[in-house]
Parts: sequence; C-alpha cells; structure tokens
Amino acid sequence: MASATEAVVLGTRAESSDSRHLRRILGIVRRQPLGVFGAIVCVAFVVVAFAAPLITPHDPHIFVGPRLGRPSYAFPFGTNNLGQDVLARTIYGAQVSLVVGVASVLLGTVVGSALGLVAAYCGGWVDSAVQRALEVVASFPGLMLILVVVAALSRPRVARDVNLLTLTWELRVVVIAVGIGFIFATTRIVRSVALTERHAPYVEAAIACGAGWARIMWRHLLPNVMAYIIVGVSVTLGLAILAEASLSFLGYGVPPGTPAWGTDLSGINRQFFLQAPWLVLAPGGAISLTLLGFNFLGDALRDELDPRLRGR
Amino acid sequence: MQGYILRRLIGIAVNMVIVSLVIFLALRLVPNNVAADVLGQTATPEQYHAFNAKYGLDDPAPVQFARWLGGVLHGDFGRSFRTNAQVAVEFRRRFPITLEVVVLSFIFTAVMGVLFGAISALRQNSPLDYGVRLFSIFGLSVPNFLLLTCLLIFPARWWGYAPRFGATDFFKDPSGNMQLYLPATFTLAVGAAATLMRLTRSAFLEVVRQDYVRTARAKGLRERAIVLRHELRNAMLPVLTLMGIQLGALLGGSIILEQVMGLPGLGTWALAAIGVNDYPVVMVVALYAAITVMVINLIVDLSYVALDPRIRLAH
Amino acid sequence: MGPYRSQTGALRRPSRRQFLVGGAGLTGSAAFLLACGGNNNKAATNTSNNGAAKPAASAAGGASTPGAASASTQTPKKGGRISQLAAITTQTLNPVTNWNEGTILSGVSIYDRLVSTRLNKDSATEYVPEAAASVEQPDPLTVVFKLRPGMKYQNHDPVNGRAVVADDIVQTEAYIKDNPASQDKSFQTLSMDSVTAPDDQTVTFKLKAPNAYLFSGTQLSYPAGGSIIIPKETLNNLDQSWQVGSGPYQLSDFQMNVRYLYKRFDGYHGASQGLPFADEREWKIIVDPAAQESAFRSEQVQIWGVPIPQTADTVQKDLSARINMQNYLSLSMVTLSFNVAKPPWNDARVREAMYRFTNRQQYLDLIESGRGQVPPGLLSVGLKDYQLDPSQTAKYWANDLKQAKQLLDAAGYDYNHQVEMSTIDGPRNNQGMQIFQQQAAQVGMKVQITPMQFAEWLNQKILTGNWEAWYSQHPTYDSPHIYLRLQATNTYSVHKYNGLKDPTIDAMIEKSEQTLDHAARVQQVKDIQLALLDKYTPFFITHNYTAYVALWKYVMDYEVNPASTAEPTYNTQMWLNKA
Repeated sequence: MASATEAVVLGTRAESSDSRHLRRILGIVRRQPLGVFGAIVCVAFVVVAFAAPLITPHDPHIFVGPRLGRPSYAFPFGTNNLGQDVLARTIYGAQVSLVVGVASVLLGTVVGSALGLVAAYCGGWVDSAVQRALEVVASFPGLMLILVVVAALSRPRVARDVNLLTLTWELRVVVIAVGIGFIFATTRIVRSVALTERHAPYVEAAIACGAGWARIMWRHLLPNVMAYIIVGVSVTLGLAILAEASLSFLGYGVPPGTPAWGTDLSGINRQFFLQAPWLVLAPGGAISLTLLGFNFLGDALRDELDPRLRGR
Repeated sequence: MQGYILRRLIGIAVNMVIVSLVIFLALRLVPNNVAADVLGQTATPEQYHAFNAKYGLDDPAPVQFARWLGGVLHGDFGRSFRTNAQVAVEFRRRFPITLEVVVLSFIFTAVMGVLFGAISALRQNSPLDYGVRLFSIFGLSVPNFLLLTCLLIFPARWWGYAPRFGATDFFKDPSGNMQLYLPATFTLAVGAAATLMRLTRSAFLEVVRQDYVRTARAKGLRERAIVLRHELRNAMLPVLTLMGIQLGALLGGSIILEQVMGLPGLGTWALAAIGVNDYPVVMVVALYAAITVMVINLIVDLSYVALDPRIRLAH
Repeated sequence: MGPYRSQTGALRRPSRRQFLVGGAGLTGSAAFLLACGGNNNKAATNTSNNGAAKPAASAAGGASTPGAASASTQTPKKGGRISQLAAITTQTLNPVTNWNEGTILSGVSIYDRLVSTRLNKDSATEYVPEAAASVEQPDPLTVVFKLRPGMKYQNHDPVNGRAVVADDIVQTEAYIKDNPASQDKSFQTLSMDSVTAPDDQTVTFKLKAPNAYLFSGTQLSYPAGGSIIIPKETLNNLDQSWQVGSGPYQLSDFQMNVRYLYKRFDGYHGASQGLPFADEREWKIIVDPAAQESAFRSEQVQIWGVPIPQTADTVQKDLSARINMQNYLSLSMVTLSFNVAKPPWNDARVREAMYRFTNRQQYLDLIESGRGQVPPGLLSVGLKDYQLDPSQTAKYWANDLKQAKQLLDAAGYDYNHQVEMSTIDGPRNNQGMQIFQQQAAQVGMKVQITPMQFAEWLNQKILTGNWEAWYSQHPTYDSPHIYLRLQATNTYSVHKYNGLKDPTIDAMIEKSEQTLDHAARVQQVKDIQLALLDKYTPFFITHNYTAYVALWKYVMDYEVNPASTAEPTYNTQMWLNKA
C-alpha cells in the first residue's frame, strides 16, 4: 500500500484519476483511523437526522409503549415515563442538534469569514470597528452570551411533526445565539490569515492590474483561508451541539416534549437515573458519540490540511 | 510596557461602555412592561406612574442608560426590579461563590491539563500516554452537566452523601466548604482539562523536535533543564492562550455547576434575572464577566512577553 | 396536628388546640367558628376519629404509619433545628405580595394571625383561633375578635418589642386592600366592608354580605393575607425591611431564594405551652428535583415533599428503616384552562370537542402513576360534601374522538392553528402539557408548549390576558370558593381569565358565597358545577394527586399546611426526637 508521498515519487501521473483518489483515501485511512471513524460518525449523524421519519419505528411523541419499559425487541432503547419510544426520540433528537449545529456554524462561518475578509482588505477604520465589535462579543463567556441573546429574542417554540426547514426556522433564536459566538472565532482567524495574504506579492500585483475588491477577495483571499475555515467548522459543530444541549438543559432551549438530546437529559428524566438508566444513556450516549466524532474528524482535518499543527 | 498596559486598560474601559450599551439595548428590545410585572395588573394608572417615576422608566432609553452608567461610575449599581434589593449588596454576597468555583475549577484544569499533557508527551506511547489520551477523549465527549448530575445522584444513592447545599463560607467551615466545592469543581474541570491536555501534549511534541532542543540535548544539558528551560517555556505559548480562553469559558460553566448544585452564585442569579428581564442584575453580571475576560486576555498577552522575548508589545 | 396522628386512632397528648378550645373559655365561639366555617369541617376531637378507610389512605398503601404511631405517644422534646426543602422563588420579603413568602416562609413562621386553618389528611378542615382569645358573630355581617392579652412583637427595629394592638390589624387589612400587588385580597375587596378597632384588644369586621367561607384558608385564614398581623410601622417598607412579627419564630438570617433561618420567639402567644418545640426552623431552597433528593438522602434536610411517586417509592425502599413516607390525597387541583375571551375557545363546540378527546384518567396514570383520583365534577375530590355523583357527569366526560372531530368541523376549527399552551416549568406541568398535546393530536389539533419561570408566566401570560391555554397545578384550597370564583367574570384574583364568565352562573356563584346554611350551599355548589359542565367550562381539574412527604423518623408531629402545595408544613408542634 503506497502512501501519498510514495505515490508522487512513483509518478502517479500515469495512473487513472480513479485509482489516484483511491490511493489517497487509503493513505488517509491509514494515517487517520480515528479521523475516519469520526467522519463515519458525522455522516451517520447527518443521515440519521435527515432520515429520521423513515427509520424510526414509532412517532417520538406518541405514547406507544408501557411506562419506563426496559429495552426490548419492540423498543430497543426502552420507553420513558410517558411511554414514548426512547429510540425514536434519540433519532429525532439528532434533528435539533443538526439544525442548531449546522445553521449556527454556517451563520458564524459565513458572516465571520466575510467580516474577516472585509476587515483585512479594507484595513483602517473598518478593521478597527470590526475588531472592537469582536472584542465586545468575545468578552462574554460563551454560555452567558447565548443566554442573553435568547432572553432578548424570546425562547423558541416548536410545533410537533415539522420538517427540517420549519424546525430551522423555529430554532432561529437558538441558532443566532449560538452562531454569534462563532462569528468572532471565525473572523479572528480569517482576518489574520487574510492579512498576511493581503500583502503578498500576488495580491499586490492583482490590485496593480486593477482587479476589483470583490474579485480579489473571492479569487485570492478566500481560497487561502479555506483550509482554516474547514478545520474550524468541524470543531465548532461539536461545540454548537454541546451549546444547544446545555441551553436546553438550563431550560432556555427547545420546550419539553420536543425530542432533543439536551432536553431529554434534563427535567423529569433525571429523576429516573437509576430506575431507568436508558432514559439518560440514550441521549447522553448520542451526544457523546457525536461530540467524539466531530472532535476526531476535526483533528484529522487539521492534520491533513495543516501539517504544522499536526497533533500526532 | 507601561504605556502599552495603559492603552489596553483604556481599551477595556471603552469596551465596557459598549458592552453595557449592547446589553441594555438587547434587554430593552423586548417591549415589556416592568411596572406591570412588578405591581400586577390590578394597579391603578397612578401607581404605574409612580413606579415608573421611581425607577425613571418613563425617560427615553438614552437617558436611562446615561443615568445607569452615571450610577455605576459612582459605585451605585441600582436596584433589582424584581427584588428591589441593592444589586451591589447581592453581588458581594454571591461573588465569592462564583469566584471559588471558577478559581478551583481553573486550578484543576490547569494542573491536570498541563501536567498530564506534558507527561503524556514526554512518555509518548507509554501506557500513561494512552491513559491520558483516553481520559481526554472521555472529557471531550461527555457534557459537563451530565457528569455533574452523576456526581449529585450516585453518591447520594449509594452512601447517603451529597455535597453541602447552599453556600458554605470557607473561613467559617473549611471542611464543609471543600466538601462542596472540590468534587464539583473537579467534575466541571474534566472537560476543559481534556482540551488543555491534548493541546499541551501536541505543543510539547512540536517543541521536542525543534532544533534548539536538539542542540541543547547535544550540548549535554540535563533532561530536567531541557524540559523546564526550553520545552516548557516554548510549549506554553499556545497553552497559555487556550488557558485564557478556558478561564473565560469556566465563567459560563459556573452557571451550569451552580444550577445543578443549587449554589447561590452569580450564575444562578443571572439565569433567574435573564428569564424576567431584570436588567440591572443581568448587566452587572455580564459586566463582571466581560471585565474578567478582558483582564485575562491582557494577562495572557503580557505573559507572552515574559515567555518569549521575541514578541514585542508594539502594535 | 390531628392529621397524621389520626392514624394511630388515639390522641394521648393534649394538643394546643384542645387546650385552646377547652381551657381558654372558647368552647362556644370555637364551636361557632367550626359550625359556620364552610365546607366539610369537623370539630377538632372528631377529626382524629375520622381517619380510617379514606381514599387517600387506601390509595397510598399506608406504609407510612409506624413512625407516626410511635411519635404520638411521646412527650415532645424541645430544641433542635428542623431543616426543610422548598422549590420556590420569592421576589421580596413581603408576605402580602409574595405567595411563597406568605404561605411558606414568613407568613406562617414570623407573623401571627387571628385564625388559621388546619387541614388533615382527609381534607377535613378545622379553624383554630391563634391570636384571637375569642370570636363572636353577633349577626351575619359582623365579626368581633378579642385579642389575647399581653402579646408582644419581636424585639427588632423599628418595633422593638412593643405590644400587639388591634389597630395593627386594621392597618394591615387596609394595606392588603390597597396594595395592587396583594396576592389574594378577595376577602378585603369582595367581602369586607370595614374593619375597626374600638379598643386595643378588639377588632370588628363589618361585611358587605354574609360570607359562607369567612374563616376558610382563602379568606380570614389565608396566611399571606386574611387576618395576618403586621406591625403598622413596618407596613410602608415590607418589601425590604427586616421582618418583625409576633409569630412563633423570628428572622435570624436569610439569603433570598437560598436559605432562611428562623429562631424561636419566646414572646409567641403559644410560648406558655412550650411552643414552638423546635428552636430553629431552616428553609433551604433547592429547585432541581435531583438535587432535592440528594439533599434529603444526605440528611441535609429532614422533610421533603417528594415531587413524583416513583421517587417516593425508591427513597422509601432504600431508606425504609430510617424514614417515614407519608401520603395524602392533595387538595391541589391540577387544571386545564383555556381563554374564553379568545377564539376558538369562545365557541362551545370547540370546548365540547376538547372534553370529548380529553382523557383525564390518562393524566392521572401517566403523571402520578395512577395514584390519586379523578373528580366526578369540577371540584377537588377532597372537598367531599360538594362532590357530584359520577352518574350525573359521565356524559360530559365521555370520550368520543369521532364526535370531537365532528364538533370541531362544525365549529369551523382551523386545523392549522397552533394552540399555544404555557405553564410554570416543572415535571408535573410539563408532562401534563405533553399529554394534552398528544390527546389533541388524535383529532388533528396542533399544540405548541411553552414552559416558563413562574414570574415570567404570571406577568407575560396570565396578567396580560395574552394567553390561549395553560396546564398547571394550583395551590390547595380548602373550600370551593376560589375555584368557583375563578369561573366568574370578576375573579378578584390576578387570574382574571380562567373560567367561563357567564352572567347567569356569576349570579349563582355569588349567591352560594352568601349562603350560610351548609346543606343549601352544598346543593347550590353542585348546581353550579352542573351548569358549568353544561356549558363546557374551559377550566377544569384533570386530577387530584396523592402527595408524598418524606420525613426522617425522628421528625414528630408533622402537619400539612393547607395553603401550600409542595411544601406542606406549618406547625409549631413539630419536634425532633433525637439528642
């Protein structure tokens, strides 16, 4: 099995692009087994969230089984105090986590990158203003910022049986609250990378040739910061999922009844910790596995995209 | 150096004003009738008017903000709308609890993170290294509120033991105080320590391969001198940055710890106040948190200089 | 104190009440009190014989009695500190404007009152003169209280231990009436015409109309209002100033919403009988149920109102040798309520449809593990005299999803409408909302649920009228008074928007409140219930639950506080049987 470097040495140009890709992938698998595990978990998480209505045996809201039923063939993760299927609730819980995770990270990344690029490109008072705004946001401890935003914008209400789009809309306040913190992180990284690139000879040359600012940002600055953004995204996704769970745990997230991991770990389920441990193990395990997946994936991506930071 | 610190301090002061303005606006965005909240719906218009006049709620928002800011500059943080208690008095009462939570959990984080991270790097691929890495994976993936709940439930069920509820003053009852805080802050620190461990480990591994460490080793310096003088010093730069961030994050973690353990600290205070738009309280807690975070950032930046002479303070 | 010791069937130790009734020349007036008091009250001595074979006891299995039995045969020990748990929040120190401060904290510990209600396990009510040496009612519109001689306030600024005078009560009543934030001033606004103090030892109330519930826990016995005695010089700053009263305990230390410590007050009117027995009472405020359980198991608190029955079972199993788990059928109503001021709930067909899909037994089964009862009519099962016969009401509660759907269709119900249901965040309320959501979904009705903090819920929802539906547990009421009033157009409560608001029924309610004859009033109250059901009132009880109270075994003579839901204790006679 050839590693990526060997492949180059051996003159892989001759090979078909298919087998080249395969070799690359195999190389990554060998170097980053945990990263691959992480990627699988992440993909599974996304698939489960999207396919929730197709793969759940029961409606997560309906009282289908006995109360506090042990895990059984019919209910592999048991049932809760109302007789709802814990497996179904855990599967549907992925939806809330996915929506909040993806949407808030998307918000943070898009807005943050744009801000960072603009600040780096324009410099001067724009840069100062952005910097100051970021300092202000950054001076709130994460959870405090989220709570203040949720309090200011009112708590989410979630209807039953909604699709992912509607769910995203209903969770907009949580998304904004969690996303604002990520804007700061992204902007800081993007700005510093873009700042070095901004004064690189090729960018100066492009400006000299009369290229517009949009073109310079899009064609020259953005590609250079992409690697950092990608690494940032995978790490922050995990953080976003954890933030949503904490928020729900504190009672400021999705309302009870809505299947969400944080909510199912709070409230009455904690009363059945010893009597019915599956109530806690299922959503808790789901959070832990997902966090683990995103952490491993993030590490691996960082190693692959930026060898200087390799964690070994 | 002094000029730099002065500039930073002025920057912090300016930020404080902006932070308080932002919170003020955020909490006043929601149109809510504070007078109705406090007096109830059966109050007469005259009573509403008297209440609003008392708290200056009839004035335009900028005037209210200016008055609040003026009060703060004179050390008067106003009164809570809900309890009508002096914010400053309640703050003084609750502050030591949050401080103890943050300081203890930060010590746990820093000691566990740096010590185990460094050992794990120096003994790479030893059983110890694997143990540390396993622990850090665990710490990263289990939410702290779940761990804290376990701490609350299992010892009580098995041994009839639970951390002392309600705050216990360290100086009045040191053992009771430690019984409450040590297990809880340790549990809170697990997650943060895990991240720090991983970073410390990789920072050390990075440094170990640097030329100057090889040179030092070639010169025949003792291993301890190499680790302390060269490796630790250089590896500490990214570690310090992360520790600064984590110290800020622990202020947020303290909310969860206080909530689960029922501690009367700033976190539970803010949590209750946020729910009812009691903004004099929210503002004070947020300001406190913001000042803390900014001062931490300043200290981190200054310690860069102490650690690495190559870094200059100039802009 | 009859309630728990009633299980033993014997009352050996003379109780304070017996002393008062028998010894202070009060027999006549006390008997009068008990006779006119309202619902199913029994004379004090009867109560203890009334305990056997009641629904509450049978529903609970009665596993809790041995400790209580041994308790009653012993002479009370004085001293010690009793620590209790409460899952409450308060905003100020004012017992009049804060429900919890009035009914759980200072209202029952620091301040004294003219009369109080005692409620036993079977919800039988007794009215006990406290600061009153005698009570007379020369005519239905006049009540005259004579104060006990020699009562003093606690020695703290600005009162400094001065004597209790009748004018304090006059001023306090005026304060309650005029304060916009008084939690319940239905007595002062609705019933009281005037209150005067002819001399320092006499208080005379004049009523606007006869009041059938005059001495009940919602009128003169209401701890957070009613006949509470507050020194007049503190009335202008009750929110913040140090609490000074003439009750069994004085304030020693407190941190709001964290911990309250009360110490014995030797000038209390019961001090000559050795009351209160415990030197100190401590309240720890712990909201999280898991933390509550840990605090009880680790003996940091000795008394705990267990939030859910399964937890009561496990705690009982684990600690059976060392604790008593008591239970009783709570008077607390757990209700569904819809805003009739707004569509679609102003349409009787929609409400009828809601009755058709509502399965009350499911609420009881799922939330309370079936432990409790579903009332046949609209009043708590514990108000026995007023219960309707199940055969009279079966047709209203009948489940028929098909018919529900037809009714909704006929009413032109908009199935895209999201019913907004809110409540105070808590296990019982949150589960109830989910059950409603589930039952409503069977006929295609969509429901959104929003749990809120108490203050937020009260201020943003209930007070503003800007709400559609709520599911919540209520405090315990020892008479039908409040429940029926909440159905009237003028509720005289902060809860203005609960019930039906029908002029005909309003008149019936008002009439029943003024009917002193017990039998006649019982019939009226039954008729009102049927009339409300006939119109499908949007405010009804889903169930009454069995409440559990866990006590370490050395806690003796524990008594239910009728005005409180989860923290049922008000008693100076409770004591600790340990060194």
